[in-house]
Parts: sequence; structure tokens; C-alpha cells
Amino acid sequence: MATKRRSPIPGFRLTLGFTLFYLGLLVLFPLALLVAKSASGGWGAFWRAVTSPRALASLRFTVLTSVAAALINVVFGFVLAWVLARYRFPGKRIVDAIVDLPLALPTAVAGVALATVYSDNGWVGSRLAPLGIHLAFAWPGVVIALVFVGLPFLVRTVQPVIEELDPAVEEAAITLGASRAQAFARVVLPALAPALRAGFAAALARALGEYGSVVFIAGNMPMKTEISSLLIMTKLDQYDYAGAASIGVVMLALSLVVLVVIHASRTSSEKLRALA
Amino acid sequence: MSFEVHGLEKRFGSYVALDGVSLRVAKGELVALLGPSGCGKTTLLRVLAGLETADSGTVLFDGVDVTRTPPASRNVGLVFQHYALFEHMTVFENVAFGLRVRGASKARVAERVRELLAHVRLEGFASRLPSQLSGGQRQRIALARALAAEPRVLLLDEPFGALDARVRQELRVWLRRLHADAGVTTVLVTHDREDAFEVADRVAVMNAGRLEQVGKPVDVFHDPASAWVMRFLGDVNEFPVRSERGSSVVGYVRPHEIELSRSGTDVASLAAKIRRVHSAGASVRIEFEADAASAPLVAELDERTFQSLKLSAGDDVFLLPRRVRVFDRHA
Amino acid sequence: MSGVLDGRTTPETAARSRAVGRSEDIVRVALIAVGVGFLGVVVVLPIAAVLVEAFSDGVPAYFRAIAEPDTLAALRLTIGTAALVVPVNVVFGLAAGWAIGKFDFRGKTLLTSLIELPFAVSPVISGLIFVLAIGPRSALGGWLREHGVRVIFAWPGIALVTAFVTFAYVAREVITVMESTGRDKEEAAVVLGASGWQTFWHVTLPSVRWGLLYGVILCNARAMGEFGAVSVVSGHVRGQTNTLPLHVEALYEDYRFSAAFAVSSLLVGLAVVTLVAKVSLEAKTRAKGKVQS
Repeated sequence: MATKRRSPIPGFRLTLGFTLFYLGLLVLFPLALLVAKSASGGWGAFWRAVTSPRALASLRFTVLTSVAAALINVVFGFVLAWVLARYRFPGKRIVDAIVDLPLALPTAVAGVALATVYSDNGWVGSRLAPLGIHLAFAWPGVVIALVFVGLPFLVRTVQPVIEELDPAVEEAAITLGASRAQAFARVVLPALAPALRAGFAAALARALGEYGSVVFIAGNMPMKTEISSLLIMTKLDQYDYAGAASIGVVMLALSLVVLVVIHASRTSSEKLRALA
Repeated sequence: MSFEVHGLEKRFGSYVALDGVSLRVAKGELVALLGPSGCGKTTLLRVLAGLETADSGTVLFDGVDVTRTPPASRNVGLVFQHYALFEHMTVFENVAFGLRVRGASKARVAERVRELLAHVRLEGFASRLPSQLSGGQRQRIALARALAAEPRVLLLDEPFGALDARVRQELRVWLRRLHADAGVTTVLVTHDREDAFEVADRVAVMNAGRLEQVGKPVDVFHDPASAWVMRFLGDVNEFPVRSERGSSVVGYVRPHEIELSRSGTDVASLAAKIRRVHSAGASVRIEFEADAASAPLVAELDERTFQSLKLSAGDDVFLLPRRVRVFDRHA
Repeated sequence: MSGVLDGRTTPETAARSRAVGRSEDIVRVALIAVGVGFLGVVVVLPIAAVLVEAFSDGVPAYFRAIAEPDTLAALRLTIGTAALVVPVNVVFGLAAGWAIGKFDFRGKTLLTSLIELPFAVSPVISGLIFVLAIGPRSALGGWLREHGVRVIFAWPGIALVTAFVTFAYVAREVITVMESTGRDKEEAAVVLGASGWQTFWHVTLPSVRWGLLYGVILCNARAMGEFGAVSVVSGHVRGQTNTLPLHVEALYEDYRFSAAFAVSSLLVGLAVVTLVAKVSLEAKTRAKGKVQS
């Protein structure tokens, strides 16, 4: 990393030096140790830790609930983004601000709050329990928590794209003889697809690693409702550091893959917008 | 202050911004660097300010080598193309900046800023923010800021570029007067030949990193050093002529240096047919087709001559170039 | 789509477009109801529950819960951690912004991606990597313990993981603003004779102040609210290594629900203050953008 030419503005070495030092010390060094630790027992130990029935069950549970939550957010987050971008209604500014609340609210508070509302003796749970519907301490509760934390990612990815979408395009489709539904399906939706994919991936990435809002409502039963983050926590409590590191590496790899997908679809949606 | 540069070279990757530029500017002179965009004129200005370092060559201020002197120690005044005013500071603070960073006393700063604001005729604007000023006012504040610390040389990057035609004309006159009053050595960069010719003592025409020609506006306009300069400085007709040695070369003629007649009396005259007449302007422009020239030719006549000749489209006429230029080098 | 397009509207077409308008109204109202209703059930209802349950044992009980020594200790630890971590990340953000925003160098894109890397690391893994790096079983942790320094399961560990999870909040905003403002102003300052420090302090810092503040607000909210990562490295000792979010968990696990919600309400307050500050800053920068364009 060297300047191509001497700049008249001073301070390059100092600021870049500090940036690299702090980045290396706080981020790169500990992350490298994680990878090293997971490999410390050899490939066999890594594979055993990751493919143990309990680890596999937690990974499956984490991925399935995360995907379910992200899909729910694609539907309802899209509606919310559309409403905020296209319509005017009383209280819109407050609604718009509340969308960010899950990002600003500490996850532990979200966790106890969701558990309170959706557990069998909670505000909503107590009305559903007599019908035989149990949300908390089962997978639906986990999905609700992941929907909660993922919602802003979807809305904030899709909303600006809808705002930039020229309503004249829709009107053009209608003047060409398309119905409202056809115009939406053939013109609007394809234009928003990259943003929806990116929003889905962002919500998914967040859900895969979520901990605080889930543990209070999940019940945390091994093999059933145990998320991978909690399994890592349990392994740490048992001083199984290599096992924890192995699952950690898999989780990290998963979220990095999802983020690379985000990046790919983001650039393609930017290309689309640049063309428009 | 006088300054000179010798053999400046500067590349950005494969792009050659300066290709052996040497120039000497006398104390109190106002020189315009004139050229199309990408010709290297702004790079030359930035090398003078110390914002770029040339790959090779030297910069001398009053005979002292400042090639490696950082910008903060050069004491030059630079007006950026988009002014680069500090948007969060008032007009007063903007103008005061160069004095304050040099540790000038409060009283001295207040006095000098007042003086400069009077000079640029913006006395009442001291507490405004730059965002509350018009384009021309921002320009003048940028100038006042650059002049505050009494720079040894004033550098202006496209000073009229972002302004509309009327403000532009006013500012040219004003800048000329300012220069006459302050007498500071000034270099201005422009792509507009009217800016250069109207304001500058001397014009340095730049093309592809080289100085094509340096001279007084009148000399540069009437005696261009190359076909490139000829073309860059205005409309020009090109047609084949016989050189003194008898070979066929390209002759260059300005539209206003062509006379017209109904009959071909002179040996040098050229038969042509009028295609179009544009008479809505200060002079009358006439387009011709001629067998001898591949491209259409253009002549400019004053209104009275045009009336007396009673010309209209479709007429056959003879063109008599009053002055034909021939260049060895064809750019 | 209004019913009247021009003066030649026949009764027939007017009726048709009225019908279209009515069906569009229905769609609009339905979509608003679905979107806002969903937000209400998923987000607003649980937060309302926190505030209501916090007072379920009465107002005096609410204040008793907050005035408990353990709660006050947790509050002190949380504020102290943020007071340490946020300034450090501000210094880092400004340094990174200056280097990336004002200079060209090879590997700039890579560096920007690496700075955002902590955003991709989930809370528990963030804690995990510090346990592995400086925990009791690591070489470094062993050495530190021999010299009587406790990092993991003590406040320095909490500060470290908090610095990690909030690493890029300030840097991201500052880099974006510094890149977009370009270098003209700094060059102008330098030509006018300013030193590097004068240029930074009088020209650059004021021009990034809103972006910086925005980053600080988000960084602070995360620093005070982080749960998973801190949970891994905290020893969970009440009154000592429990931050406010960890204290909420401890109270909740003791079935002291109203106390847990009372403490939670403090964090809800933090979130609301954060959002109000964020929205007003966004309005401010938008208005400023309009003036300048």
C-alpha cells in the first residue's frame, strides 16, 4: 500500500498506519486465531465437531428458521417498504422511524419483550394457547424473533429502490394496455427483484448470527430448538474451545457467503439503476 | 515575483499531462494558459502551487528553486475551478483563513479582510455563508481569500468557467482592473480564447502536454505558430494551394480574411457557389461550395459590403483570400 | 389517476375511472393496514409490553428496581464501556476516513472491505474470538494472568469485544463523507499556508461533523446495548461484570420480571433517543444537501 504520487495533503502515513494497526490488532488477529484454533485438533477433530448430531441439528435449525424469517420479511417488509415509499398517510414519519427500532433496541430487551408477548401466558400467547398454538419455546417463536431483527434490513434495502422507481414506467405499461396487476408483475417486480434479493440476504445474514433476541423465546432444547450461537456458548462453558471454534468457523463462513451474495446482487441492482 | 519552469514532465499512468514544459513569467505579468480540456494546463497550475510534483524539471520563484517546497511554504494564491470555499465558515472566516493560520494578529486580520472585501466589492457580506452567495460572488470571495496573505503569485483555474455569459464579461473587466491595481504576477488557466485574449498580457497555448506557442494575444492570433493553434483559435478554411517551391500544400484562411467578387480578375481567386447566407448577426456569414476544396468554405463580410454585392444563395462568385498561411507542421 | 383527464370526459369513462379509483383506494388502504399492522404486532407490541410490564408492580417498585446497587453498577459499567470505546472508535474512524478519503493507494478497496468485516461477524463469534485470543487457555491470556491482569471475564474484555462489534460504525460514516467531499478544500487550506493539523481541525472536521455524529450515535447505541458478544466474555458477576443488557437477563432468569422490564425500559429509552437523534440528523443532512445542490 503505497501512494502512487506524493500528495500535498499531509498525514497519510500516520493515519494509514494507525488504521492498519488498530484493524490488525482488534479484528484480523483475533479472527485469524479463530481459524487457527478450529484447525488445531486437525481436520478429523474439526469434522467431528461440526458433524456431531447436536451440531448438525443446531445448524439445520438455525438455517431453516433464518430462511423462514427472511422469507416472511420479504413479503411483509416489501409491503411496508412500498407503503412508505408510495403512499402518504397520517403518522407515516413515526412508522418510518419505528422500522429502525429493532436495530437500535438491545437484543436482550427484544428477547425478553418477545418472550413476554408470545409465551403461553403472555399478551398474545395466552390467547393462542387454548387453541393449541404454542409460539414460544418452539420454532415459531424463534422465527418471530428473527423476523423482528431482520425487518429493518429488508425495508431499508427495498424502500430507496421503490422511491427511485419512476411511476411513469408503470403508467406507460398501463397506457400500453396492461392491467394494474400485469404492470406490477411485469414491470415493477422485475425492477425490484435485485433489491428484494439483497434485502433477503441481509436479513438472512443477520438472522444466522442472532443470539440475544432468540435465546429468551427459543426454549433452547438441544436437538430441537437450539441455535448454533447458543451451542457455541454451551461449548465455551464446557471449555470445549476447539469445538466452539469449529462451529464458529462454519457460521462465519455461512454469513460471509451470504454477504458476498449481497454484494453481488447490490452491484447488479446498481448497474440496473445506472442504466435506467 | 517572477517565476520560471524548466522541462516539466508529468505522467499519470499512461496519460502524459506535461511533456517538457518550459515557461518564464515576468514580475507583474498576467499570463493565460489556454488549451482544450486534458491538455495539461491545470496540472501545470497545480505544479506551480505545489499540489502536484513534476516527475522531472524545475520550478524557480525569483530564481530560487522551489521544486520540492511544500505548498504551505510557497505563499501562492490559488483560486480553484469550483472555488473550494469552506462552506461551514462565514465569508469573513474564509478570507481570514490564510492570515490566521500564519498567526496574524486579530486587528491585522480584521483590517486586511475589510480591505479585501472592499476590493472585491462585497463589504456587506462578511457574516454570510458561502451557500448564501451567487456564483459570481463566490468567485470574488475565492479571489479575496487567495489574495489575503499577499501571495507572490496568483493562480486562477478556469476562473470564469462556471459563470453565465454576462457575469463572465463583467468579471473579465474587473479582474483586469484588479490585476492593474494589485500588480501581482498572475497565471490563469482557461479553455476559452476570449477569456485569454481579453484579460492576459501574454497567452501560452497548450496542447497534449506541450506549449504550442507563447506570445501576446495579438501575435498569437495573427501569427499562429502551427496549424493546430490556427484551428484552436477560431474558424478556419482549409484548401490546397501551391507553395513557392511549386508543391501542393494546405493553405489556412480565416473567414474574415476573404474578399468576394462577381468576376474572377485575380489569378489567386477561387470559383465557388454560395450555399447559404446567415445574415442575422454583427457580420454576415456565407457558406460556399468550391470544386477546389473538399469541405465547405466560410467567409465573413460586414453588412455594408454584403449589401453592395447583392449576394444570395445559388450565386456563383470568386473568393480572394487576403492572407493565406502555410505551416510546415500539420497537427 | 384522477377521474377527469380532460374536458371531454364522458359520463361513461368518468364512472369507469371512479371505479378504478375506488379499487385503488381499497388496495392502498389494505396495503397500509397490512404493513403497519405487521410492524405493530412484530415491533410495537413487544416494546409496549416492556413499558407496561415495567410498571406492573407499581411506580415505587419501578424506581426501587432501578436504584438497586446491582442495577446502578451495571449502568456504570455500561456507560463506562461506551465512554471508553466510542472515543477510540472515533479516533480510528477519523484516521481511516482521512487515509481512505483523501489519498489514493493500492489496496484501498480491500482495506475498506476489511474495516466492514466485523459487521459480518455475529455477536457470539465476536465474543468467541476474544476468548480464544486472550482467554484463560490462550498463550497470551496465560501470560497476562501470570502478571495479574484479568482481561476475559472482566471489564477489559467487555471493552475489547464492544470495540470489536462497534468497530466500523463511525469509520463507515466518516469514510463515506470524506470520500464524497473530495480533496479541494484540504488543498485550498494547504495552499493558504495551513499545517496538516490546522487543515484537519478547521476544514475537514467541520465538514464531516454530521456524518461523524451519526456514526457516534449508532456506535454508542450498539456499545451500550450489545448482549451476545459481551455475554461470552463477561464473567456474569452481578454488580461487577454485568452490563445493563446482561443485568436484564440475570433478573429475568431470577423470575424478577417487573425488575427486568424496569431495567429494559432504560434501554428502550436509549433506543428511542437514538432513533430521534438519527431521524433529526438525517433530516438535517437532507436539507443541507438541498441548499447546496
